[in-house]
Amino acid sequence: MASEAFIRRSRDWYRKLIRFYPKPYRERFGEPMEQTFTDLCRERVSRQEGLFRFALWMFIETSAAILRENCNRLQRCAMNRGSTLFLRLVLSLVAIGALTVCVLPLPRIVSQEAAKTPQTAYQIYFFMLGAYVMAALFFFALYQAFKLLAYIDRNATFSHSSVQALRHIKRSANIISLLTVMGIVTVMVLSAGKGEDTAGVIMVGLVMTFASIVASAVADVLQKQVQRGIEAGRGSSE
Amino acid sequence: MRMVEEESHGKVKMGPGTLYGSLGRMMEAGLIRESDRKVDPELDDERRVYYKITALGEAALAAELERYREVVAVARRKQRASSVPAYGI
Repeated sequence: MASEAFIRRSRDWYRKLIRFYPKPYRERFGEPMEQTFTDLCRERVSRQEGLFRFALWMFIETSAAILRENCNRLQRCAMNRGSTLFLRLVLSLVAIGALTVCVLPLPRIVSQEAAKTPQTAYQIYFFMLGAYVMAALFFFALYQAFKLLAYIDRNATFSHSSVQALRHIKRSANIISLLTVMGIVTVMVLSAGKGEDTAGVIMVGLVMTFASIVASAVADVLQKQVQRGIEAGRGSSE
Repeated sequence: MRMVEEESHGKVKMGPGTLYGSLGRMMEAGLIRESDRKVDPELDDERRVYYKITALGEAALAAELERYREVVAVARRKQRASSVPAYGI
């Protein structure tokens, strides 16, 4: 029968259309919708009414519903993540900035400096290595901060996972400040008595140390608060 | 869907997208739930899912009917008032 073949083909297309629904919705209603579509088409045939226009109308109607469901879902996501969305944006910008510095100007500055003093080039490369170790630690801390925001979104702020993330951030910040102080001392020792202008480098190092110490202190305070929150929650549930 | 079309004298046509969208929203709001009871075992399809109104759904329906009743009452009052000839300067 021609109409049965048409229904089968339309059903296949309808199944493809349903895939555009958000996943939870599709899992719940995908199959019944497909079934309803077929039932309605068969009913139409049994009443000897036109099928093509009816099927086309159902496709348009379902497409509009798909658009609506996806908009609703997006709106809900934005509302749930509204509080952390700004922080995510700031962290992303910081990460992009840091990555740009690591990839573009840093290697250029290092190679220029190394070319100026070829006999002590190994010192410059040593500093570059240190800078990349610190950058790796910095990105690790940023990743942990993103994880922490994800826990907040999932209402799991007071969990051991967030304590762990804060601990990682604190440790990374501590190591970065320690490495920076070591770098400053090394620069001062190496340039002692040579009359080189190292004030700029030392200033940058001091700012980095200060920023890392502040980050570490904030992470420490937050970690203690979260731990206290977990213990309070446990106390009240017992 | 057929019932909606018939009861509205063909003015409202409901497709699967609208129907299941409404079912989803009503389930989320706790107004209906899936029912185990099969309404018509003769005509039944294994995959057919039935939905049942919850107590909250009944209360919401009653409140909504009351609201409509009030709106209709106000409209009737206004209509009656406007049909009475107005005298003034």
